[in-house]
Amino acid sequence: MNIEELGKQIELAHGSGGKSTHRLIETAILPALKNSTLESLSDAAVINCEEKRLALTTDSFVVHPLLFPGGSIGKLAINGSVNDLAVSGAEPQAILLSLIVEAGLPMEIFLREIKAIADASSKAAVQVIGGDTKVVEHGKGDGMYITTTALGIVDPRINLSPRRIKPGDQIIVSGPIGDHGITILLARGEIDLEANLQSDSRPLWPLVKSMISVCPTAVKWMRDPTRGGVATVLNELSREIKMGIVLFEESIPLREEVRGACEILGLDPLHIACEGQFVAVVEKDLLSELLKELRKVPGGEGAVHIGEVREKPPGVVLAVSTYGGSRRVDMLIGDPLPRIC
Amino acid sequence: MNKEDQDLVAWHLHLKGKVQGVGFRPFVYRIAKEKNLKGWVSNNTDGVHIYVEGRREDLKAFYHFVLTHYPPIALVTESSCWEEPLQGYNDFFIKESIKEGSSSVLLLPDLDICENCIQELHSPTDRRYGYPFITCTQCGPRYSIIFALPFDRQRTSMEPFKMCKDCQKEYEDPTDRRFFSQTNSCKECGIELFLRDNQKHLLSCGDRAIRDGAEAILKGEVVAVKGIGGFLLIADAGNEQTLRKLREKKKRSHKPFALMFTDIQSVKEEVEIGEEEQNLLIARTKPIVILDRKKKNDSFVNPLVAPGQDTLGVMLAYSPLHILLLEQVRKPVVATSANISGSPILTIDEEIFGFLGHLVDKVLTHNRQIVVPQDDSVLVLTPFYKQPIFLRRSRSYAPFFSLGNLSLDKDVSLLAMGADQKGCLTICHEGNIYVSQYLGSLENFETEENYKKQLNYYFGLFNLNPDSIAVDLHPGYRSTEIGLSLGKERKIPSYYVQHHKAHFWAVLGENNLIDDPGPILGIIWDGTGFGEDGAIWGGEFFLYHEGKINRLRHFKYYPLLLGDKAIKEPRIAALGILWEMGKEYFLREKFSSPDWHTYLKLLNQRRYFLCSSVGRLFDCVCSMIGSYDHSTFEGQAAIEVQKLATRYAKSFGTLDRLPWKKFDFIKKRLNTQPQISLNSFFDWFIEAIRNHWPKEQLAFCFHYWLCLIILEVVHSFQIKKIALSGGVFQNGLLVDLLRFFCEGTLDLYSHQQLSPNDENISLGQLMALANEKKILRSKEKR
Ligand SMILES: [Fe+3]
Ligand SMILES: [Mg+2]
Ligand SMILES: [Zn+2]
Ligand SMILES: [Zn+2]
Repeated sequence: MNIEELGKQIELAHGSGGKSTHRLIETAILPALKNSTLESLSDAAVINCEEKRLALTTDSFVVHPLLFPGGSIGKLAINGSVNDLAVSGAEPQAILLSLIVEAGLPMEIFLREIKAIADASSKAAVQVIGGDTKVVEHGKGDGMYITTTALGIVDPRINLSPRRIKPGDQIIVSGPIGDHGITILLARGEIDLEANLQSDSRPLWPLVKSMISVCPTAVKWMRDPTRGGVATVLNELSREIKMGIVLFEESIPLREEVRGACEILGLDPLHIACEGQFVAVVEKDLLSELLKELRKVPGGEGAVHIGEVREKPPGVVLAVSTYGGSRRVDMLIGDPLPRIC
Repeated sequence: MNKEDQDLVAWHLHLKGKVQGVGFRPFVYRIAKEKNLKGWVSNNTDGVHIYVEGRREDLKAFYHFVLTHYPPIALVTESSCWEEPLQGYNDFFIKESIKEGSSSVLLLPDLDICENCIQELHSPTDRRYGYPFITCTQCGPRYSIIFALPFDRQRTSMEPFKMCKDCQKEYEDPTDRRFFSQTNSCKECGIELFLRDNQKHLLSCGDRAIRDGAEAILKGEVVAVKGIGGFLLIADAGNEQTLRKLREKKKRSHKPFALMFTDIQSVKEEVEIGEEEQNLLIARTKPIVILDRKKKNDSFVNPLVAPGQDTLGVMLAYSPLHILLLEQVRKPVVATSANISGSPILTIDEEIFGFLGHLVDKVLTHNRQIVVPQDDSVLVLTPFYKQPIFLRRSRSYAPFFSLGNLSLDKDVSLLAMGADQKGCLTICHEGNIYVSQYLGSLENFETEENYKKQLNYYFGLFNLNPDSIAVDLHPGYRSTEIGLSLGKERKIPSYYVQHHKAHFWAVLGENNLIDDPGPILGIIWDGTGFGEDGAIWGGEFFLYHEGKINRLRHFKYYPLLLGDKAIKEPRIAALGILWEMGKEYFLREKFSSPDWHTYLKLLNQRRYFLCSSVGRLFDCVCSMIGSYDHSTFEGQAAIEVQKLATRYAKSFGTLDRLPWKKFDFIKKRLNTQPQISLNSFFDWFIEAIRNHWPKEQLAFCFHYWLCLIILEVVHSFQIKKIALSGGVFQNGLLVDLLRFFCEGTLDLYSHQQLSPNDENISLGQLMALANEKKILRSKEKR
């Protein structure tokens, strides 16, 4: 393990979901816990269990503020985990919930979050079947941290594997990106903009299910672009498959509010977190079928084709504009949006 | 005469420098024949070798004559001579090139068409009358067509063209101008010209293609013309509709386009030309020269060529194809590099159709491959002393670099990766230095690919195996990343050089100051570079002494918000500077309410970079005086402030006629200790703007203040030698003002062969590395 490369201590950037996080996982965690399921670094682990394939995932949620337009930490904690299952092609079955609460948190807020958890799980059609609660000293816990662990059953018809990806495959996104990340920035008052924007936190399984029902094999890979945004998940993919990924700059779906906020701070929307979208690699021939189907599902109306996989340049994500040159889209570097989950 | 003098002896001469592809061997052949000497002359990868037999006295005379009378486009940088056993030849001949051995011959830049060839081109009885690829040993493409060294036809993109009988005869005839001319060809055997529409359909060939191409330009069409270093987009400079379309589709709203003329007379009608300007325009390198536009109402050149500028970028047609085409158009044309905004110049037909089909109407192309893409070089002359400054060094200059009095160990090979904004590579190989052409900004992916291609090309051309690789300290630079991973791959150690120190090393190297006892003050001002303390540097004063650089002073750090966005919006630099002074409200109306509150919040939370850049001070001034708050091209704000100040200074004719007393108060607004403070000057500046001082005077005061700061620092350290580098010194007015104040008392050094901008970073990195490895020395001291 190379300490020099990691730095002397844990920095906030190690949790940004970008380059530093990637390095921390690859150089510190993976070598120590070596096994093939872990090393695939997918959103959920898939376990073969007699006839069925189980998907298991866990995620911790730290967000400030706890409540924001369109959601709160409780809702995020449920949707975040069930979405990691959904993009692994698994229907959520059960959730374990672990709460770390800071002493002094108003009971009102605690109850509000429990209700948010209950609402979100019933909406996602999944039950919280166990859990744990710890209280830490005042000043040591940012109000509340939540860890959820979710179990799902992989739909037998779907076959997700980066190994199936070939040059010519197409990339789609389920709707406008960056809503969550910018909502949080606004809620924190970091951008002084009047914007009617909400977090996009929502369960993705209905959308995924609709694709599986029409042409399950057409979908080869899926991720939910949370921390680090679309740029980071696609960079991870391009490095893994050693192919190029080209995004068509003009077709990336963005709300005006998100565009404006990014403009003010000079941010790339491709680096901004989503909590209710997926990015998928699909077969070219079935692209329009899939999009047509997705757009029929409530919440899938905004699904669009945003790019494609090419043989070259290997390991690089490019954004091209119609009459401009191409720019390299890197993983999120540093930590311009600290502690967004 | 004693017996020894009558005895025949044999000498071997070895000449190095710009000695290949310049008619050196034919020249030697002719002299040897004239003097009735025997032996041979040959090109080798390490230069020209001459084996010659004769009487000692004649050989001496021959050697001396060769060194003093060689062709004007050649340059001998080293010569040696030794005696060899007599072989007893009975003739003098030109031997085939030997490819073995080390390749330390200099790569020759591309040359414009020579006078003799122009005459033949225009002479109806000549067999090359109107042949758009006429060349001889004294002219034509070199660097742009070479695959491998030495420069012989079979190693260039002339290889597919087999010489016809007539051409072959010239090639073999020692009395002919084209004797051993590697680019020799004619209408019979040579390169073919085609005109296509943007759907690739062939419209016409040869002479017809030129005629039809010219007609298209006159009709208001945009024609892509394949030239020496790449395609140029050529259009009628007087046709507003065409220019509007070109600007719109090239995504280039304000950046000036260059103009191409056929003759100096027609240039004189549009711009002010003195002797220095004319000499630069007609030089064999035929650069684009930025010249003052004539104030007249009936200008042929549409304002859209250079919106808002007092200047025009002008060049003379330099290749026979351009000459023939422009003679048919009969008026000056816009000639701008054919590329997608930010990407490298295109050199292949398919790329034109694929990427520029929407803006190009016709393509005038030929079937000789361009091996090394290059843009046209750009120079400007300072307004008063007429000192040339490179803004872009490329075609006809690159990759040649003269080390002057310096010499480098021959067995050490080094590679320097340069910076990102103005990509440029420097290599040191066999004791020579090559500085690549301008390679563009690496934030664009195609440019990065082209940069890597150029790197590979050098590896192949020189069979390069560098001992070390020098890179910029900036962790996010692509050039750094590419250099480091190359080093990892090939197990070559890498070496970091801080950006501004590299600028300093470059100007020291170019002026033979590496061995200077010093001390030398380096004034290194530019846009942005990554500093050793993690701050953004760019307003630095260094001391060079005994091979070491120390930072003496810098502009006091001011807040710079938002990184790259700040560089595109001058108002953001201004906000940081005035906020620190508590005067940000002066800028309030430049920002929307959300922008304003967001940025103030960031400033109050100290979420900004610390910055000492002088380039950003120009931005700040540009925004404060109300010129631009958003730049549409790099350097726009600095160019604007310089333009206004130059207008003011020029209105007095000469610098000594300026009302200097009027600006004496600025001397009281200097504060250089412990660091250079902005407050006192900018306090006054705000007041002056409120009092409605004219923009031109405000901009001039800013320039004067910068000069006074330099003078004050120089005096406080009692230093006599000053070296200038960094993009800010592309500003001719600032350079002239400094010269005006320093003349007679201080020695001022600046770049001559390279640009002061980041194009010189790779040379500086290489110099730093060479100094570290102790392989640099002055020639006298050896
Ligand atoms: Fe620089
Ligand atoms: Mg997750
Ligand atoms: Zn010639
Ligand atoms: Zn011929």
